[in-house]
Amino acid sequence: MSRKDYAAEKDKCKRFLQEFYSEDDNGKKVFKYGAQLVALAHREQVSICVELDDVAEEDPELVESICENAKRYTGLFADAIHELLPEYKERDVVAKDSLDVYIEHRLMMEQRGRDPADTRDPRNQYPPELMRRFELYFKPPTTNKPKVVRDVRADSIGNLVVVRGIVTRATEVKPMMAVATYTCDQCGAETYQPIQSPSFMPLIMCPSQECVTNKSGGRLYLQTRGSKFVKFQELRIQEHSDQVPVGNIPRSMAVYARGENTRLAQPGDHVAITGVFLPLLRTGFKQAVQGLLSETYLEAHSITLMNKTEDDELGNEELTEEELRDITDEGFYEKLAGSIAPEIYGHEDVKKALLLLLVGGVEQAPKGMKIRGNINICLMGDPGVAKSQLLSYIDRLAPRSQYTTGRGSSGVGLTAAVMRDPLTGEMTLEGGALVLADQGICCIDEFDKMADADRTAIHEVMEQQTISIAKAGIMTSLNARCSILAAANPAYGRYNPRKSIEQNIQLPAALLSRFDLLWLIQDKPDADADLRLAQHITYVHQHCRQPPTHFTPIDMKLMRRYIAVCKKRQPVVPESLADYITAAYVEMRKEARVSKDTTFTSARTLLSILRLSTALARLRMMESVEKEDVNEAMRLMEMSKDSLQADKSSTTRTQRPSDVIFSLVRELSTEGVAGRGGAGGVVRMAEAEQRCVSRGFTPAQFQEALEGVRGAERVAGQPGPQPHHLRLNNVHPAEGKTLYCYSTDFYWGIFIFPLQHFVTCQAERGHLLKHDHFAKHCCWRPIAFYVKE
Amino acid sequence: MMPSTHDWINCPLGVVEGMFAASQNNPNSGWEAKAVEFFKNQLKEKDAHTWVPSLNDVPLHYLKPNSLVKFRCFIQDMFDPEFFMGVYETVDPSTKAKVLRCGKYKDVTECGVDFNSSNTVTAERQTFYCVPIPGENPWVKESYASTSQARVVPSTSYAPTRQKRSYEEDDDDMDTQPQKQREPHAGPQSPTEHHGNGDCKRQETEAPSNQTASASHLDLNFPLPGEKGPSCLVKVYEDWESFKLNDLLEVYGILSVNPALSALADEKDTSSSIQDPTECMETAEEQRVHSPPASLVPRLHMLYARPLPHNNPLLPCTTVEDNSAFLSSSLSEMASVRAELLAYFTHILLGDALAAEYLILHLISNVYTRRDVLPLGKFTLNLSGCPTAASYTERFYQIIQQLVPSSYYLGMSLQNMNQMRLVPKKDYVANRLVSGALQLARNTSLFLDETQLEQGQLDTTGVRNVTALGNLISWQKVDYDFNYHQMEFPCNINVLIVSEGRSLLPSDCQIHLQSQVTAPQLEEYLSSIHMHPQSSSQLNKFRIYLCMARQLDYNISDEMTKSVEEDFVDMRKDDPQSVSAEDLHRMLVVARLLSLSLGQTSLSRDSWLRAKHIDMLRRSRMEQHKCVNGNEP
Repeated sequence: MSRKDYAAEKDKCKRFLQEFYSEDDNGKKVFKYGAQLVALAHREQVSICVELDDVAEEDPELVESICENAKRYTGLFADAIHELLPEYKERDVVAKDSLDVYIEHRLMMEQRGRDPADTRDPRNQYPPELMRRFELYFKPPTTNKPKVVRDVRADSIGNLVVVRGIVTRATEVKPMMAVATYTCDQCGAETYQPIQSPSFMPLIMCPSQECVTNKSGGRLYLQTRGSKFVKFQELRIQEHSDQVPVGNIPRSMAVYARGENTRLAQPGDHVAITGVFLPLLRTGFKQAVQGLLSETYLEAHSITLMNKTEDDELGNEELTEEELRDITDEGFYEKLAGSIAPEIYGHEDVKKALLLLLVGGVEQAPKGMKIRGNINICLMGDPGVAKSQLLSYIDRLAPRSQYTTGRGSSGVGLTAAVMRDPLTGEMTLEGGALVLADQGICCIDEFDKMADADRTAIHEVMEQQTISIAKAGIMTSLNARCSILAAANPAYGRYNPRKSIEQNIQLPAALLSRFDLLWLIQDKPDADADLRLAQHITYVHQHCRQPPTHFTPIDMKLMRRYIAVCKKRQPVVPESLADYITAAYVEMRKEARVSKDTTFTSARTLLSILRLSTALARLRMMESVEKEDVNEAMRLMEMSKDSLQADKSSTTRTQRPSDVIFSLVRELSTEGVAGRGGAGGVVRMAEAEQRCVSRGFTPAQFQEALEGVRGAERVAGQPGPQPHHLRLNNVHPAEGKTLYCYSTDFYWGIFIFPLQHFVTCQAERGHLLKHDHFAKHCCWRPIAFYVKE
Repeated sequence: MMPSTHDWINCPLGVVEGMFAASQNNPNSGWEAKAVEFFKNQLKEKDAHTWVPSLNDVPLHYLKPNSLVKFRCFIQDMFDPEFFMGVYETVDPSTKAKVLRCGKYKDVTECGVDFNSSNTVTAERQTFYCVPIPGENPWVKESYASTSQARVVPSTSYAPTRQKRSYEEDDDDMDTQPQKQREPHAGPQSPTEHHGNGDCKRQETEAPSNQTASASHLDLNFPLPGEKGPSCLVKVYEDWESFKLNDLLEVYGILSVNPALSALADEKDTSSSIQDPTECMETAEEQRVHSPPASLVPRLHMLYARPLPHNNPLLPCTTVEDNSAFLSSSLSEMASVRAELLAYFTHILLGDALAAEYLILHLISNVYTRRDVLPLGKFTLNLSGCPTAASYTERFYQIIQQLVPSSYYLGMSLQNMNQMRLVPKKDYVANRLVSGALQLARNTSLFLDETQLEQGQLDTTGVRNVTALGNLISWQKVDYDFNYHQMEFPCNINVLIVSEGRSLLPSDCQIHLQSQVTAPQLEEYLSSIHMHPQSSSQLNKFRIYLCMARQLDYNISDEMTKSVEEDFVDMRKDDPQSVSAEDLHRMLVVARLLSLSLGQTSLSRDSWLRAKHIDMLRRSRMEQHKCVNGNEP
């Protein structure tokens, strides 16, 4: 391999610096580096950054050489700039410090003493480093992907690399000698010694012509003022935890930062560092002892701070079309929800709610009033129903999250604490879990066992999303914009459905109402579900792996990226839906009043519906909320309420496809009714089927569900004289249950009568059923009522 | 030309260099792979590995520098990779002749290295900090030592210089003559003195004799307090990706104890220029940790490493597949050994046969797979109702110690919980992982003695330690503390909790001991157990049995699966409150262990019924107990 002609390379650099330009909007040429050179010449700018993307436009080959031999090219570019600078100097500059004065004097000396006969000793010439006051850095081409510390190997020595990591140690910034200047006590000549390695051997004897010929034995003395020092700092970075293969210790790497790159990072910061990977040169005895080893370091060219979440996403390229299609195909909502904690069997609706929690609703801030977009969920349930597993899974899945228990052990607890710094004695604030989970998710296990101080603070966090501190003279408000996912155990060991929620989990209603969704996960016997559970568990034990499901769970990383993409959307609720939502809300309020509800339906519920529906729209990557989103949101609310309701077997309700179909149809019917303010509605069969198919059910399933109703217990009755009348023979079996009314092949009517209401009106055998809504909205003759659990 | 046995053990570098020199003419010879292959083949030969002296049982100063040694160890920490000159050129000062040399497997170069030569090749190697297997029981050490056939001659030139600093001196007494079988009477070293009264006592008794000056300035970072033995910096040249933290390895490598390595460290302390920036980067502590004196922490350049599936010297140490012949031959005996062991345990557990049954299941349990976060196969046993009198728990531990290859006794006294470091923590100043007592190798038995717990307050460390223990039991993982974040390390540790009442820690299975012995007779009863220890052949049988049962394969047929499912549904029908998914998990694990303990590799109807039966017995006993003690939580 022939040696490169570095003089020619230097000319290339020079040419690039002089000639590179880009055109601005007016078509005017902007000399990007020319302008910087002027600033450098006038000492208005210290560092110049050469962007290799720019170089690539002119000379791609040069970029390659720079990346492979960065140290050498730093020198070449610096030389080129040094030579160019006088040309760019437009006016005289006032010397800023003593070194400037020295440089000026030295230049004058050189000009004065310019005598062709006088050949100076090369070592007495001014080394270029001494005369330079600028720093040159490269910015790597954007095609250069950041590396993991682990992947920086022996073959990258000398290369320009970008690495990511967390700073674990940063030394003080110290001056480091770049050029040592000596004067001779005999002849007064100055001698310079550029220093490359970490240590150097000071010169002792004067090498000048005069001293050597006279053999005067002039001694050299180090001059601090005439020497050049640079700021110097050493950092140590360590791999991120997610870059470490399982069962390995994170690797670390030394980074040397000089000049302008110092004081940029603190221990604990996440950084991306561009630099040249170099071996450390040792001299003298150490070199011999060290023998075969060579230490390495990264000579920093730029240090960029980044926060963790950003960093996670930036590394991953945008979702590809294929991946998107993979996710967003049919039934993606179920698929995504099912991919949450696939090892936990069942609980589809809970998982759906958790998915929405991960995505989050849209935050609104009308006229400075902030309405949170984060969704808070509380999981309650008997011991051992996988609440903690769900929490820990969400903790792992969420890009930023904190997992804690209500009875946090550290003094900082959930909120924040004022601590005295042991070194300086100053008071400092230390954030607790809620503060650390800002912009993320805070998973709180054992929510019911929370300390009282935290309990009051959490009120604020859950609605205002801040934490106010007034302790030890520090009064401040910290952001805690986090979603709260809480898990609580019932107070009496098991959930007692006869008591209210507050009694069951000893938490005040004010706190409970701040949760958008409350789920009660109960462990109830059900032969069917039990069998499936048993199958699931035995399969795992038999085959040591997950049983095959109708879908493969989506990879965690992909989920994270998809959720990140979803979060960028800011869907709005269109005007047209406003009426619909208000009507639905009014209906819910009414219903809550009628049935002695153990939960609350308040204005917060309305906000929750909005949050959930915007989250659903986000999940679909849409810019506006659709009716279906609202319906699904309401369904989830309903389901979460149902789970709390006494003696309603939530398990059967939520899991069978036929139940979902029924709830869909019910929604459809309420949709139709909402405008008219009624409680029942009429839905066309075809419409109902269409809706079900669009939600991922097969027509066969739909038919099956229908058959199921036909086969259900019949409430005996005969059609009354009027088309909308029905004579009931016996009301009793239908008490407290939802009546599904089946009339002809063309119509489906779903009536949700709270039966006690019904019964109090006319519950006697043989009575004629007459309901206002019948009369108002039905123009058809009901044939029979069926009771469906 | 094949080097003789003597050569490849005594002078392995010669072999390597010979191959290197031979390869100089053709660049693509792949001599490195060949060299490794050569040693591998040599070691494969019958008994060849027993000729290699082991660092575990031969004191360092008896070993010849640059010879081949082996080391049975545990990877405690992984340092950053090192760059070294894989090939370098030396210049003879008198003749100016240049010679290419190989820089692999050594620490120090010859004189006259031409640092500017263009022929230098930089290569990379990885350093692991290895310690002897934590908690390895004395009988394992002895057994390994007695099988060694290495002829070790104290190297006279080397020994005197070592004497001064050697850390080994005090504990050499038992190892200096590895050949000589010690009297059988002393046999399994009486563990009483070793594990007398938990940790505090151990530290008290041993500290003055053992931790002398050398230890005071150099912490060898053993996971368990009071451990001894050499630690070693193992330099790995190939496939270091395949090794993981906490792996058990048998490393064959070239020993390097060149004093120059220590000079590197010493010189730092005394004088160096203020300008040297490495001073501030590599702190004194870091230096001390990463280049400790070679006399204390020798360097081992790995030629070949064998991952150890277990450290039981009585079992052939190969993978399960190769082992199948051995396993199947002993399957038939398992049932009978089990019966004997059951009788023995029943005797020890004060005549409680059910508890003894569970103890066997516990001892052969093993995390065989992980499903996402959930480890399968773990079986933490809480033996409640242990008598506190007559230091029963300690005696009990001594018996366990005799049976399992590695174990650790952790007395959960308040002082221990508040002071001990259980979770490893990264020390960024010294740039190393400071070990903790929960950094244990696979299948180590951790014996938690909760009877030691007294009233008082747990401080922050204490709470953290208890949480760590809880995590270990529920998830079989330990979160190592990396200051800025935590890293999860999966583990596989058999935890046995003995307590008076129900343990404060979670457990997979709790059984209340029903003593057939009344309190006054207890002392006498216990001493009788100790007076008549099992014969060593009997003990060996048990040892083999426990390790083997753990290694067996196991499967459940589809038929059995169905009947188990139906059973579960039926049970739920009868009493839904009593059987949950967790119970099914546990019963399946019990059935698995029960089958394995009988040497059956698939689940049979009988085993399932029996598992159900003993689980029922256990539960009814718990309920009974609850009724008796109203205050039971």
